[in-house]
Amino acid sequence: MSALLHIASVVVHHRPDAVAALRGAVAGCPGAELALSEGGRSVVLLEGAAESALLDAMDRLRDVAGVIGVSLVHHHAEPEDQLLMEVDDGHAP
Amino acid sequence: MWTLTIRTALVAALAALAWYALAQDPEASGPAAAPTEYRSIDAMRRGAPLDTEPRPPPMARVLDSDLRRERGWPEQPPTIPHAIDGYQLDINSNRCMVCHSRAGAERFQAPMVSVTHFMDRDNQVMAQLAPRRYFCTQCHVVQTDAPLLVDNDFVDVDEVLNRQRRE
Amino acid sequence: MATRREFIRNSAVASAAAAAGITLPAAAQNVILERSATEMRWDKAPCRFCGTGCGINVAVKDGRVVATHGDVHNEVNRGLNCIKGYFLSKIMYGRDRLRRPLLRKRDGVYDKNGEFVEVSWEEAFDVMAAQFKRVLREKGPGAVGMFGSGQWTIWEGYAANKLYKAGFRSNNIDPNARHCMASAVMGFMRSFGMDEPMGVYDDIEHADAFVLWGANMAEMHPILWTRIADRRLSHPHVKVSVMSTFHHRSFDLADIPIIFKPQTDLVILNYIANHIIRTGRVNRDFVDRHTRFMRGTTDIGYGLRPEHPLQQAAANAGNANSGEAIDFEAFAAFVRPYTLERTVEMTGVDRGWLEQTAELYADPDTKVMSFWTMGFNQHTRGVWANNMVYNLHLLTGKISTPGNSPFSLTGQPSACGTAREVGTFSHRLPADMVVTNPEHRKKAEEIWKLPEGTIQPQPGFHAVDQNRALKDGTLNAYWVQVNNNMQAAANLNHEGLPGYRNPDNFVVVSEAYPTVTAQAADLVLPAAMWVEKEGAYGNAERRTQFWRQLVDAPGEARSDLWQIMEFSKRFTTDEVWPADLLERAPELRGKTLFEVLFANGQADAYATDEIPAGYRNHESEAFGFYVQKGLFEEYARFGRGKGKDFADFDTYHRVRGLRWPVVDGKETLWRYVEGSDPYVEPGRGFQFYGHDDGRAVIWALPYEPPHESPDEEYDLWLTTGRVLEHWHSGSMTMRVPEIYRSFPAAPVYMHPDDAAERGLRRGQVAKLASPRGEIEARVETRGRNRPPRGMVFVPWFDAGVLVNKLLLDANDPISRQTDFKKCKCKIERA
Repeated sequence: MSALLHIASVVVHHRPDAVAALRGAVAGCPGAELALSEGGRSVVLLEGAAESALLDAMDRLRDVAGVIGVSLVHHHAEPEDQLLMEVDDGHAP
Repeated sequence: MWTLTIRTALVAALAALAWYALAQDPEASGPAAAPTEYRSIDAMRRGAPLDTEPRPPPMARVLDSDLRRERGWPEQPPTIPHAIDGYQLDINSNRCMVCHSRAGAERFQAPMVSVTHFMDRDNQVMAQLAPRRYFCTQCHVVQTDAPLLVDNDFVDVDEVLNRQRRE
Repeated sequence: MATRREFIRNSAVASAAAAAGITLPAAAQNVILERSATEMRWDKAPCRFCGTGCGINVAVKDGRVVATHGDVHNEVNRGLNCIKGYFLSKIMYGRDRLRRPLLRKRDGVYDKNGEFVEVSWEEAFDVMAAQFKRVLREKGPGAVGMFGSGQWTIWEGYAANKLYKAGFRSNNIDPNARHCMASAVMGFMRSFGMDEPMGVYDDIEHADAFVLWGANMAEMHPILWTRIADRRLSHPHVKVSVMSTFHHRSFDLADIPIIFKPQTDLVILNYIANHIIRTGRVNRDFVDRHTRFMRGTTDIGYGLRPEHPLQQAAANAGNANSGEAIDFEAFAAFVRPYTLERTVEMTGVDRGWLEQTAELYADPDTKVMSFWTMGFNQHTRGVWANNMVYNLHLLTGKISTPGNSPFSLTGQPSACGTAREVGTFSHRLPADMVVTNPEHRKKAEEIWKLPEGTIQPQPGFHAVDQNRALKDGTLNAYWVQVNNNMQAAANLNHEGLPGYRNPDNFVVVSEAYPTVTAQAADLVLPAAMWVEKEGAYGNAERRTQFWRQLVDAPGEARSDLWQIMEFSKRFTTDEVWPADLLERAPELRGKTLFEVLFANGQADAYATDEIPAGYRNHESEAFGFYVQKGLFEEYARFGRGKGKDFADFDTYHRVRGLRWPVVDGKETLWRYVEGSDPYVEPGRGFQFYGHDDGRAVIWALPYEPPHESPDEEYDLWLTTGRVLEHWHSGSMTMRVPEIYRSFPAAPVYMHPDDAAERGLRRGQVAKLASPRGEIEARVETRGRNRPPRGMVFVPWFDAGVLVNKLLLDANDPISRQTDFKKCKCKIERA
C-alpha cells in the first residue's frame, strides 16, 4: 500500500474585495486551487501528503486579510496508487 | 388464534428459502425479483409465521481481519475492521485513540482519524481530537459475518458513472 | 477518462459548493470540474430517522441517491451524523421494496385467507372503497379507523386528519406517536396549557449540568449526545447525571451514575422537590408570580380492559386527568415524606448520588438541563413523571432561559411536527385544539369550510383501544400508514394479531417494505419514502424543516399523501354524511370528499408552476395543483396568532428550518419569557400563556406501583428499548448491509449471574415467557447493556424476536401511552 494522499475542500467566507488576496494566497500554497468564487464565498481545493499539510494551508488562508472564516467541508484520504486508477477500472464495491 | 394454511406456509417457506439462498452471498447478483417473493412473509422472520417464533440464528462473529474496507461514497465513515470487545470508551479513557491518534498511528500502523475530527462545532481546528467526535462508536461500527437477509441495490456513484459511459 | 483522484476532487468541490450555497456553473467549465460532477446535484433534507432532526445533504445522480453527508450549515448537527444518518443513501434500495399493491385473493376475488396477489391501484381502491362503504353503511363512522404516524410528513398527517375527522366523520385516527410522546403531550398540557418544549438545543451549550431521566441519549439521540459530550469534555465543571434501571452507553459520560428500581423514578422526583424545599432553595419570587399548585387525582388504574381486576380495584380509573387546587404549603407537606432515607430504601440508589443530583437542581448557580424520552413517557404514570420533572424547574425558576431547560426529547422525526402539531390524535385537532371543545370544532369547521356539526365531539379509539376494538370486532375497516404496529404494539398474541386477522375486519397497510404488519394485512399499498416525495418534518426543538422530491419512487409506489387524496375521490358526501348535515350545506351535496377537502379553493390555491424547475412533484402532477403548498398554508391558519405561528411555505424551502412561533420572520428560541417570546406581554417577565392566568402548574403527585412486578413464577423484570444502529422496528436499517452486519439480531441482555443460575451461557438460545406469550433469543451477558440482577433487556428492532408478544398493553390512564419498560417474565434454556 502506497502513501496516503489527502484531498480536502474548504469553504472560505471573505469580504468580496478580498478575492484577489485570496487568489494570491492560494497560489502560494502548494497543492491548493481556487475552485469556485461567488461574492463573499469561495471554495478552495487542497491536496497534500499529510493532515498537517492541510491544516497548515487552512491556517494560511485564514490569515489572509479580509478572510472571515475557513470551514472544512470534505476530507478524503486514500493510498495514492488507488487514486491514480482510472474510474472505469471496475471500481464498484 | 390465526394460523397460516398449510399451503401458504409451504409457499412462504419455499420463498423464504429462496431468499436465504440469495442472501448468503451479498455480492451475488440474483435474478430479478419474481412476483412470488411477495407471498413470503417479512424476510426478517426467516420463514416463521407470525404466531410462531423462529429459532434465533447462531450468534454472528465480529470480523477481525484488520483489512481496510471499500467505502460506498467518500463521506461514509469507515467500518471497523477489527473486534473492539472490552475497549474502554468513556469519560476516563478512549482506547480507540491509543492507536488512531496522530502519535499512535505510525506506531500501531492504524489509520489516523480524519482531519475533520480535529474541528470543533465552530470549525476551529484543535490540537487534539474534538470533543464532539469523542465517542467513536456513534459513527463507526464493526461488521459481523451474518449473512444478509435482504440485499440492497444501492449503486455508488462510480458505478453510475460507469453505466453512463457504457451507454 | 478521469482518474479516481479527479473524481474525488470534483465531489469535494461539489459538496463544498452545496454547503456554501454556491451554484455550480453548468456552462462555465472550470478546468478541474468534470461535466458529470456538475450533474450530481446536492440538496438539503432532514434525516429520515430520529427526533433530533439533523440536516443532511443528499447527492442525486441519474435518478438515484448516490451519497449523503451531514449538512455543515444546519444548526442541529453542523455536519455530523450518527451511523444511521450516514447510511441514509441506502435505505430506499432494499431489494424487497414494494412496487405494486398486493391484495389477498382466492379464485380471483378478495379473500381474507387468500394469498397476496399483485393488483392495480384501480382494483386496490375498488376493493378498499367497497369495504369502507360497507362498514360505514352497516355500522357507521365509529367502525372505521386509521393508525398513522410521527413519520408522516406534515401534509400527509393533515390530509389524513381531514379525511377521517371531516370526511368520514370518524375520530378513530391516532398516530404511532401515541406509543412514544402522548405522556409528554399530556405533561405539557397539564403543566403549561400548551404543547412542546420551551427551550431549544442551544441550551446544551449553556448548561452547567445535564440530568438524563431514563434516556439513553448516547444511542438514541447521538448527535445531541455529541453536543453534550462537547460541553462536558470542554468544561470540567459541567456535571452529567445519568439515571436508568440498567447500565448502558450513556453511563460512559456520567459523573453521577444512578441505577434505580423500576417505577421509583417517581420517588426520586419527589425527593428532589422535597430537598429543594427543605434546604430553602425555592425561588419564591418566581413561584408566587408565575405558578400555582394542584393536587392530582390518584389511584387511576392502568388503562387495562374494564373487566381486569386492577381496573375494578382502581378508585378513579374514570377521571384520571383531574385534580384540585392547593397552595404551596400543602405541596410542601405532600412531598415531605419523600426523605433521602425513604428514597434510598425504595430506589436502591446510593445516597451520595441522590444528594449530588438533587443539588444540581437546588443550587441556584447551576444551570440544569433535564432530558427524558421513553423511560418517562412509556410508563403507567408517565404523565405524572413529566409533571414532576417540570415541578423541579418551576420551584427553582430554572426554565425558559439559556441552559435552564426541562427538555422532552422526541423519538420520531415528526412526532412534533405532524402528529402533535397537526393533531392526528383521536381527541385532537390542529394547534393544540381538541374535538371535545365546541369552540375548537367550530374554528376547524370554519377554516375547512364545512357545515357546523361535521366534526364529532367525542374522542375516538386511541392506539391501545384500536387493537382491542379490532379484536372485539367493533372496528372493522382499518388503514395503517408509515408504522409497523404489529411489531410495535404490546400484547401481540392476545390483541394485535387476532385483531388484524379477525374475519370481520378489512385491514389496509401502506408500506415501503414487506414488514410483519404488511404480512398481517389484507391489502398492502406500496409507499414512497423520504426524498421520493416533497416533505416536511418538525423536530424536537420545534424546528420545521422542508425538503423537495429528489428521485422517483420505484414501480407504482406512491406517497401516503397521494394515496389519501386519491382514495378520497371514491366517496361522495351523500354516501358518508347524514341528511341533517347535508341540509346545512346543500352546496356540498353529491361532491366527492376530494372536492370538499382538497379542491376546496384553499388547498388547491397554488399552481404547479410555483414548483421550481428541475424538481419533480408527483402529487402535484397527479392532481393539477401545488398540493403541499396549499395544504400547508391552509393548516398554518390554525396556529398563526396563537403562539404556534409558521413562516410562509416558500421560506422553509430556502432556509434550514425555523423554530416556531415564527413572528415577523423571526424564529423563537425560548418560549414564555419576555424578550425572546413575542407573545409575552411587556413587563410580565415570564408568562405561561397556555393558561389564561399566565401561570404554570406545579402538580402534587405520589408514587404508585407498577401494573405488575416479578413474582414466584415470572421472576425477572423485562424492559425493552432500542440500540444505536437500528431505528425502531428495523424495517429500514435491517436492510442496509453495513448496519445489519454490525448488529444482525436482537439478543436478550442479562446479568451473568442470572444466566448462570438458569444454566445459560452467552450465545445459547433462551426461551422468554410471560403470561402473554413466548419468544426465543440468544443470551448476551457482555456488551453495551448490563442489566442488574433480576432484570433483562431486549431491543425490539428484530422481526425475528417479537418481544411485544411478552408485554402487557398496560398504559398511562391519562395519556393512554403503553408502558413498554416494565413487565414480568421468566427465562430458561430453549
